Amino acid sequence: MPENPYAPPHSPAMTGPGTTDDGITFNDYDLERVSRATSWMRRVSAIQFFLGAGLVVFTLYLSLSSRLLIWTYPMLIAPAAMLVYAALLLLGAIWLRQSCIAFWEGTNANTEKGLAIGFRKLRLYLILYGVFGLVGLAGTLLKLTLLVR
Amino acid sequence: MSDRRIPFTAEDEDRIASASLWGIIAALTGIVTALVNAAVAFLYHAKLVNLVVQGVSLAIAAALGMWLFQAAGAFRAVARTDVADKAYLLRGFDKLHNYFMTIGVIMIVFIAAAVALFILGLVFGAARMARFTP
Repeated sequence: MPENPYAPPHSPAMTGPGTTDDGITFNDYDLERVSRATSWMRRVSAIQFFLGAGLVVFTLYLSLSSRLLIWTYPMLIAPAAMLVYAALLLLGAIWLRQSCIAFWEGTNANTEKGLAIGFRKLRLYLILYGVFGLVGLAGTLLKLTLLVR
Repeated sequence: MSDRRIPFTAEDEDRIASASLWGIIAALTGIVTALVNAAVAFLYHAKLVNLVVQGVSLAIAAALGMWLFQAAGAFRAVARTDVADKAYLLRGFDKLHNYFMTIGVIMIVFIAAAVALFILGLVFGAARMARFTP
């Protein structure tokens, strides 16, 4: 069927391959902007992953090589807290990496589904850092309260 | 092609709005924490080194918080309006680029400094041991 030359700009006749009428299309400049963001997200996630893994190895090395009774209750708190912190770092790194991969695939494929997956993973990452921020702020305010007293 | 509306489902739009809310929380808590730390340093530990360190921390936290706040605001507009979804989305990515680039550079600088200190410690420690070894 020939294309309708009088079709309005948003009609299916004007849409390119791989796009839908109310879909989204990214040009080269848009893709470059997204790529700049996702490449730094990927780098940060990689650094964060290695920091988390390093912290796990360091904590386990200290715990297992120590001649102290580190596995008794009061001594267990510090390595356990470090391992929890390392686990959260690793989890955040994994979510950030999944997020940037989904953003990159979504923009390249001009599909909102990839973007939606990216936002789901970014949301988990931001919740983690929002909670970290709230805990950090509470600790700082507690420190301030103790100083004022 | 439509740049006005990206056809996210209602569930996805709620998730994007929730992500932006948590982004705003992370941004604000970072800025407030840095402000309180700077105030504590100014009032209680008023040494030049402390003031410089807290001043630099505050500037970095303010820049990071501002970029994250702007990114979250742009993503919230993607979820809650149908005016210019693509423009808001790309603006959000631009701000995320600034945010993560700054975090990445800071991480790289700190890791490089830690490695340099470790190597210096090894070198000076070895030199010291060599001097005292008969």
